[in-house]
This record gives sequence, C-alpha cells and structure tokens, in this order.
Amino acid sequence: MLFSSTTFLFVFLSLILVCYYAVPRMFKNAVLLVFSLVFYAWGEPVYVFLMLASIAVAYITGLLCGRDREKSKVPLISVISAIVWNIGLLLFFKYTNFFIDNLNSIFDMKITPLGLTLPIGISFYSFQTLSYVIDVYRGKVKPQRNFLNLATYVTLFPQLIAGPIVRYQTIEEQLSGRKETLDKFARGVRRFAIGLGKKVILANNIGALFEEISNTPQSELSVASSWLGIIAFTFQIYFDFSGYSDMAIGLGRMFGFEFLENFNYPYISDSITDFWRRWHISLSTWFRDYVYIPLGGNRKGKLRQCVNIMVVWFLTGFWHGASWNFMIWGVYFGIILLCEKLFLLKALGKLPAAIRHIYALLFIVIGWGIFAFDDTSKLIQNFKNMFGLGGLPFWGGKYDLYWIAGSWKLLVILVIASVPLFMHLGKKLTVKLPAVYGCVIEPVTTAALLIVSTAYLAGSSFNPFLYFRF
Amino acid sequence: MENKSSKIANIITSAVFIVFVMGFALALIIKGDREFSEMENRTLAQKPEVSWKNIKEGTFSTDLESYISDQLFAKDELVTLKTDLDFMLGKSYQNGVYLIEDSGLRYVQKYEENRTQIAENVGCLNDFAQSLSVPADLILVPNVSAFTLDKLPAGAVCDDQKQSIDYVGSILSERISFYPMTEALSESYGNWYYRTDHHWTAFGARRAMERYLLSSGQIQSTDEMPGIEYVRAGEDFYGTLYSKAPVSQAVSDTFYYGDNVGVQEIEWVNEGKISDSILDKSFLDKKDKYASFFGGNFAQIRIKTGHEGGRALVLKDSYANSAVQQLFTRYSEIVMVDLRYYHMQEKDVSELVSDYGIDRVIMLYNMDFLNEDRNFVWLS
Repeated sequence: MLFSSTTFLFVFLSLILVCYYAVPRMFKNAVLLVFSLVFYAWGEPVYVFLMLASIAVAYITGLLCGRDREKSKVPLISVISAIVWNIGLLLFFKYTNFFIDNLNSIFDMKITPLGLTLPIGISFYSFQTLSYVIDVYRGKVKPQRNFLNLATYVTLFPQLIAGPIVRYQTIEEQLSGRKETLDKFARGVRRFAIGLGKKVILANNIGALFEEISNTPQSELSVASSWLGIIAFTFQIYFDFSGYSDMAIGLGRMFGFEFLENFNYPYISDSITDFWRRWHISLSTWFRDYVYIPLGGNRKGKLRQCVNIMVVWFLTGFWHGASWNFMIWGVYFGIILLCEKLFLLKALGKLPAAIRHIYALLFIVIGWGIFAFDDTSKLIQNFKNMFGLGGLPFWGGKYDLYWIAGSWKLLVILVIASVPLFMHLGKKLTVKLPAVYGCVIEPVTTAALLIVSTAYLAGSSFNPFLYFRF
Repeated sequence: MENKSSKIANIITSAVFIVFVMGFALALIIKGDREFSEMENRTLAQKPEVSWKNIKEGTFSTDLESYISDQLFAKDELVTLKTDLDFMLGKSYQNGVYLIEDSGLRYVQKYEENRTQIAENVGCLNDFAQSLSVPADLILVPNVSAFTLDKLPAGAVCDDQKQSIDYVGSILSERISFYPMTEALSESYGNWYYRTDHHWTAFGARRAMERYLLSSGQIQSTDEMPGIEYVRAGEDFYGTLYSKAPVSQAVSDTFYYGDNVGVQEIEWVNEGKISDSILDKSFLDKKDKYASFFGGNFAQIRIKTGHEGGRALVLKDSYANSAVQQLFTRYSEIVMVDLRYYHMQEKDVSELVSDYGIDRVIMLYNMDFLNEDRNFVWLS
C-alpha cells in the first residue's frame, strides 16, 4: 500500500488510529504488527512469509549472538548466518536476473531469467535486521527476547517499504517503553502533511514534466529541454523520497516513535561530501558503520582508505537497483568524494560560496542524469543531448516554450521548498507570534496541505512511487 | 513543560487531522454510493465483495482501491480544485485540451494532424463513391481550434485544421462534391461552437447546413430553410471538454435545441425502437445535453420526415446529430449511418443505398473525426 493513496488515508489510517488508541498498552505493539502485515501484504500477499522468515532468522541469530563471544563460537557463526541469509535474499531476489541477463549477453548464453517480482521493501528490511544482529554481536544492543517486539520493529509500516532505514538501536527502548503524547501526535501530523504535500503536489507534478520530456522523440528536443528534464527529475526524486521519509517520521510520531532524520536540505550543499551528509542519511550512515568502518575505514592508510571508499560507493550504487546505471552512479560519486577528500575540498574552500554551491548542484544534477535512465542507450543519448553532442539546437525544440511557460511557476515553488526558508520562517514566528502561529497558521497550512493533496490524489492517475523498485 | 498556548495549538492540529481522516472515512460509509459519474461519464466502482478467494488473488485490494477512489467524498469538487491549482500554476493544457482566454475561458481540443489516417479515410470515401450511381457530397466541418490558433498559450502544439481541410480537398475524388465549412464558420465562431464542449451549437449546425444547401443548389434562398423554433434547456451546459479539465473559471454554455422539429416516424433500426421525435428530452436535465439529439450515436437510424422529396443517406459522426434536422424539409426519408457502430451488418452500406432507393449520399464529418477515426474501412 502507498501512503499517497486514498485507501491508505481513509481506510487503513483511520482504522489503525482507532484500534491503536482503543487498546491497552500491552496490545499496542500487536495492533501495529497486525496492521503492518496487512499493509505489507496489500496486493502481494505471498512475500509476507518471506519477511516473517527474515524476522525469525533475526530473532534466533540475535539471541545466539547475545552469548559470550570470548567463550563460544556461536555468536560469530550466528552473525555470519544472518549476513549470509540477508545478503543471500537480496542477491537472489534483486540481482539474479541482472546477472543472468549479463551472462546471456556477454557470453551469449541462453539462461532463462527467473520469473520473480521484487519483494517490496526487501532492500530496507534486510538492512534493518542485519544492523540489529550485527549490533547485538558487537554488544551495542541487547538481544530482543520478545518476538513480538522484534517483529513490530521490522514490520513497522511507516518505514517498511521505503525507509528510512531505522536502526534497532534507535528505537530499542521505544519498542517497549514509548509514550504517545499530544505533542508528538501534533508534530507527527504536521510532518506527515508536509511529506504528503511534497510527494503528491510537488513530486508528482514535476515528475510528469520529466516523464513527458523523456518520452519526447529526439528530434523534438533541444539542449535546454534535456537539462530541463534532468532538473525536473532532480526535484522529483528529492520531493518524492524526502516526502516519503517525512510521512514515515510523521506517522512514527503519531504512534509514539521518534525516528532519525533522513534528509537535511540536500540541495543547499556546497560540496558532494556535504550532499551525502544530507541525502538519505540513514543509508549512508548504514554503509559507513557496517561496511566502511569494518573494512578499516581511514585507519589503514591512504591507499586502503581510497579502496574502501570506492567499495562502499560501488555498493551504495548497486543497492539502488540491479542495473548498470546505478553502479555507474555509485562509482561516479565515489570518485568525486575521493577527489574531494584528497584535494578538492581544500581547493573549494578558497572559492566563494556561490561557486561552491554551483559546483555541488552541477554534479548532483549530472548524477541524477545517470540515475534517471536504466536504459543505457537512453542514458548516453541524454548526456549527448545535455552537452551539445546530440546534434540538437540549444533552444527551440518543438515544446520548449510550452514546457517553460507551463512549469516556471512550479519550478520557483520547488526551489523555495528546497531551501530551509519556511523552516526559518516558522521558527521566527514561533518565537514572535506563538499563539497565532500555533493555533492558526500551522493548523490552516496543515489542513490546506491535506485537502490539496487529496484533491491531487482524486484528480490524478499519475501516482507512481519512485522508490518502489529498490 | 508544555505551555498552554502550545497545548491548544497541538489540540487544534491533531483535531484537524482526525477530522480529515475520519471525516472522509465516515463520509464514505454514510453518503451512499453513486452508480454513475456524469462528470466522468462512466459507471463507478462499487463495494467489492469480501471473500477469501478475492483476497488471496489480490483482486480485493485493487477493487477496494478503485472503489475508494471512485466513491471519494466530494470527488468532483476535489478534482476541480486540482485542475484549478494546475491552471493557476500555468498548466493551460490538461488532458488533451487547451484552456484559453477568448473573452472568457474557452476549451479547445488539441489537434495533431495525422496525414496517413486522413489519406486512408478519404481513400475509403473515394472508393465508396466510385461504386455509387447517385451524387455524393462531403461536408467537412472544422473544429473550433481552426479559429483559435492565435489564442493558444505560448509554445502550444496544435496543427492548423485549415491545412488539413485543404489536404482533404486535394485528394478527394471528383465523384464527391466538397463542402468545407471553414469559411462559413470562421466569422463569429463564438456563436457556432460551445466553449465547454467539442461539438458545434445548434446555430453552427444550421449555418453550415444552410451554406451546404445553397451551394449545392438544393435551395435557392435562405427563406427555404425550415422554420425551427429554438428553446434553451433549463440548466447551464458544461460539456465534454469541461469534464476533461474542470476549472471553476469555466464559462458555462447555453444549450439550445429546436423544439418543433416534427417527423412522421423515426426508427432506431438495430434497437428496434420507434418514435416520432428526434429528441430524447431526458438528457436535457443531465450533464450530457448533446445526447438529447437521437439519444446519442447509433448504427442506423431511419427517419420518415413526412415531407416531400428524395431519399438521403447520411454517413455521419456526432456533429450530424444536431445538423440533420435542417434537411428534413428537403427529403422524405433520411437514413443515418454511423460507421463506428455499423459493423458486420447484414447489408453493407452500398447495399443500403440501392435497397432504400437512395438519391443522394451526404457525408458529414468534423475534421478531428476524419483525422482520427479508424472505422471508415467498414465502407468497403
């Protein structure tokens, strides 16, 4: 089920809110678990059992990892089994067909691809259960003896299908000892409304422009419209994904949970290093803590650090999907980050802020140019077009004027929404006019966001979720 | 720790959300389901059956989703809000229509010329005409986009129908007399076309038929046109193009129809229905007012006009539904054939021509139809 659907809002959410707040404390997690399983099983029921198996594996290996590492080999064997299970699942469900296709085309073999659909959210929940078992092994958290609590953690519907990757250690105590408060609920509502608006009003709208441009025949494009298309995608993916994270964080709060932030205005970054501290934070920190640091991080010399960085970024790219462009995208950022680490950041530091922002944005947008097309020939064609090698005029494609005229207002809104302007404004108003802001402006904005989002849901069949395939 | 005002603020915000979620949920249960949406012109999804089989096969979830979205409380108003906002944001093209400023808002259907299809369709008409021994006329009606090209938004893509009509003229067989209506409808086109519907008005239809009858020599002066008394339907008319992009700035149309068009007998041949009126007045109170002419489009309609004259066969699209009444005083019998529905019938159209003793074949089409429709092949 998607958050941005009328079924979710008016059936699922209304029911779970009633049930959750009607039952006594001891049943609250059970309510969450049951609803989360329905949420997951919606439309594709079989893979629920796969997820339950994953939870069972995490539960057992977690318990076994809790034993004394000095005295027994059981914890080591358990953590390795958990890693093998989770990575095995990912490889099997997500990457088998990719390997088969490539073997077929490189060695001219004729292996039949598996008829598998990707289990929704598998990339997220396998990383989560993995972080749990590893953290138990490392002694950072205690093993969860209550199966219900562990199952609630893994299946928790707000973050189940598109993240953020909530780590067990973040909500360990909340699982049994959280308190739902009015303040949390209200903050959750605000956050959810903002997320819904980002996704439904902004991302879908600008996404339609990207879709339109990328489906326009080559001869009717121009250099300018190729850039417009990629800029549209740049906004779409940010508002889509961060909107989803906002909704997850907001929903979590409504049920008493506090998740960590996943985005922090990534497009105001002044370097790529900065960007990756602000974009999909739960993923980059996951790779840092569970891949980069175990590989030795920066503790084993410059050369080894460079290798580690490249490994991590190759994997980060590959995590996004079983397709070459995601790997290229990961390696692309690996190289830039490496350069920044070695010399570029120092050099950039001497330049004016504006230049640093332009530099960062340019490379971010180019990155999305790689990310946006999993069809390699389309990807190459698009880059040729963007850099004037596609034989296109700079300006004057068939629809150029129309696209600009029809989207410049939206683009202005998107730019404003990408910078922390409203956040600062809100903070100022909270101090200066607390009553008016809290009792009038915020509720009215929230209501408006909810109603307008519903209007867009009602009026548009265009509602694809970008982060679904991961 | 919370001070009082922030507590009140939290209560208000939470209440807003609860009312929003629960309100829509309760409205779904309370308000009762609609069978049909006039706005969308389609039947709506109904409550899905809860059964283990449906749930297992996953049809329950998709059915429930379409039920919820179809039966959403205040859906038409919400859709209008969405298109309003889109329009405000500068989307003057939505769902295949342009929203233009033309002393008030006007909907214009985007036209993209498809020469291959036009050539194919005209080829079918040509071949058909070759086989005829009676005169054949083609009345070709431009859509309103032909006259509003200069009013379209910057960068809009919309081909010029005048060129398409010229093209039709250039490839049309000499067996068919050509009556393009570009010139007749160009001046004060605002009277001849609806603002919110893709059809022409009763007056546009009359003007074009008058021009046709005069130029083909079937009448000598406009005095010979039938005396029709036009009355307006009670409510405002919001047509098909409005439904594609309902904005609140839309200017409603007034729907006029000829009230005193009597016929001796009219027969919907395949349906076996017989009546003495070409109007189905039940549609005048509904949204789709244009369907009050004959109740919509049908494969074959036979009209005994009760007047003296020959027999005409009219090959038509929906534009003809409001126009054909202008021919009643000139013919004793008119047979209307709509090739979209006249498929695999007992007799093909040529056989109808000879069986009914037809004296003249009149083809009446709008340019958009000739550009897109794929049913002309049924002529052969």
